[in-house]
Amino acid sequence: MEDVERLFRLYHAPLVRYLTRRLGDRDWAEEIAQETFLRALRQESISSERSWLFAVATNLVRDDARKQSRQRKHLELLRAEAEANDSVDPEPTSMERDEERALARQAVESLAERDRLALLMREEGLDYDEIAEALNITRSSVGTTLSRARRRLAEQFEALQRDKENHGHAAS
Amino acid sequence: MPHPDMSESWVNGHPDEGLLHEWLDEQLSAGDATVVESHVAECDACRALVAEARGLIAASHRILSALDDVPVNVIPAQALRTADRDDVVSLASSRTRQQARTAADRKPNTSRWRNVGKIAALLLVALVPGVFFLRGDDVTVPMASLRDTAVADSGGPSSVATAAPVSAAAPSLAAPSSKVASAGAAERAPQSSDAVDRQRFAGELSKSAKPEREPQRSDQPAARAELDRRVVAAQPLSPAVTLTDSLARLRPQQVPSAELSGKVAGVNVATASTGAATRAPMITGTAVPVPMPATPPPVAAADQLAQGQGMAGAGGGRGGRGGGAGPGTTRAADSLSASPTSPAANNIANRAGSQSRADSASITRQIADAAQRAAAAATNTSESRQPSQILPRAAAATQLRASAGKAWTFDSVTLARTNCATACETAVLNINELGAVRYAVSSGSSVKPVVISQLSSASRVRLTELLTSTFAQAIVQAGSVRCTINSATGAPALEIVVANRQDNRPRTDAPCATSETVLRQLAAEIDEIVGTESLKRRVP
Repeated sequence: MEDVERLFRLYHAPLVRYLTRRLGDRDWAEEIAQETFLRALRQESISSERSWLFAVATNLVRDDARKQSRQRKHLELLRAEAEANDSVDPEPTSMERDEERALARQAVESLAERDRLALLMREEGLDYDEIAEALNITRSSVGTTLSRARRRLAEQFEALQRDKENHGHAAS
Repeated sequence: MPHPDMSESWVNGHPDEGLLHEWLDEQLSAGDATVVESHVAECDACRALVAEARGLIAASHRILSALDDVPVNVIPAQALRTADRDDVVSLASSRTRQQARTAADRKPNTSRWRNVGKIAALLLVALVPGVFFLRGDDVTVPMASLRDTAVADSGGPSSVATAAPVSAAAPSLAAPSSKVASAGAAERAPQSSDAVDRQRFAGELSKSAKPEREPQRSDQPAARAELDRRVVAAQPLSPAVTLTDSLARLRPQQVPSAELSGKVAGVNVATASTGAATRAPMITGTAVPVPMPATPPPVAAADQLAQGQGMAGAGGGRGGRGGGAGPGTTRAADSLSASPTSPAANNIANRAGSQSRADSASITRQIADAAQRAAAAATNTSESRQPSQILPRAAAATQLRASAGKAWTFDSVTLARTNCATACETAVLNINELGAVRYAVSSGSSVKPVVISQLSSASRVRLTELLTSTFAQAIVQAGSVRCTINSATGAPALEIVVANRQDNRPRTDAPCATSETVLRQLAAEIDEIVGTESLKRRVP
């Protein structure tokens, strides 16, 4: 793989962002991204670079997520993060950001795996052909997948916000 | 009229939602897009659906962008990302050159790569902070560990792990003009990896991580020392506490001989802090191991905190810490113990112990000078750097890791501070290996909320370096290390527990061979890295 530098320059940032959104852990995302590019080194050639990279990264996440220790600790962080949102915080700006991020995380996690991946890939600029190739689905189904994912995400986020507001009102 | 290929996306003469999204995403051909656009312009219902779809697209974009928000007290990872990029690029270039050597007719200008590689190696080590975390999986090995493995493989167990064993071909300086082979060549379809694939991948990683054989890079000690000198010269200065600072703060009676034995044997050498600090060369050789204690101290409540259990909604089990539940003595700093030391360090310590406190500065110089002489004798080199430069901590950690044979990481570090000025309160700060920060204050049975923060990658690296340089071999070999500073009443005023994960090894506490002064400095630095003050403000 002679042009890995070009691949890195073009795709590292979006790949890390995609993985960060997928995993909720930037460090983990960067590790996966590094490993993805290392695997690219082993390839003689890659015809569809972006979809290949995102597909490999997606597979690595799936494999890595099977490790119980990682999942357990990740869930522990999520739980702790959610608990932190309930704590008293004299810094409203950061608190609101944390809340929104937590809600966004919950909303994203509520999506079906394929819907979530398709949406995250689209956000990173992959076209429908690349998404279809990366996820091993038909191109004609990508639009439907994305529309469903977007609707579900928005509705879920709105519902979570509503629940939080209702909970806050009830507490007061 | 819809295109025949699109017919299945039309329902009762109207485009379905998926097709509208595809149109809005500009993924339709020009012809198909024109058809949809024309229909939408004439159909109120579809126009409303398009408006809704636009809203959903914008909303999902905004929601997903919220995931990118950086938590408070997190250093932007751009700098680290740049370093990571250089890591991968340098490894890529190394691999590229390796391929060229096996198929010379495929790659021109290899000599150009070498020359550029020398320059890039120096730039690379100046940029890379050294990433430490290893997740116990031989597949996911970070770049620094790959480099260490490469050096260890090439030079044996005593080789130095530096930040630049992988010679970089400087793609950042001169981008190659070659292109990726065109489509048509066989490529491996992305598949889920299995155990066999992982093993093969790990094997290939270690192979690919091996450095190119530069003319000046050889297994000869002199050549390696030269490389070490270059690496040391290129590394950025660390503003954190170094061995020099630690020595400067020592009291004569508490020379950390365990630290000296490890350092003198060649893990790392710094010099006196009296203004004449010099940068000593990196030392090759096996570090003197710190013997394990015969009986480990009893597990205390801090261990439970270190394991990250029960931190949320901490119960009364930790309330007892406010009363000084841990074992302790009535004399401050008596709980600090020292490990057996090398004869040279013992002699120095004995001499130091016999002098008065007022001579601590001169003692520090003597100790540092002796360490430096020992290091110089070990390598037959006596280079020194500019007086103001101090060996950076990243180099110490890297070499420590190399001498230990594996990457070191910690399970968690816990600081417990007890203040009994009015009512005894114990503030507990816990950071786990993922950088999750928990803070709780307990006084008796009442427990205040736990605050969560998340360290950035850079902060985690700093923390790892700090712990490595402070506890040296103790953490590498032991399951954990526990250091306690007792108050005048005998209750532990400050306790630091660093839990270390060793694969399949039982966890036993190593004795603390660190002075009280160094421990307090360590605690202060941990607070600075973690931002404990801001955490305190969050706790009512």
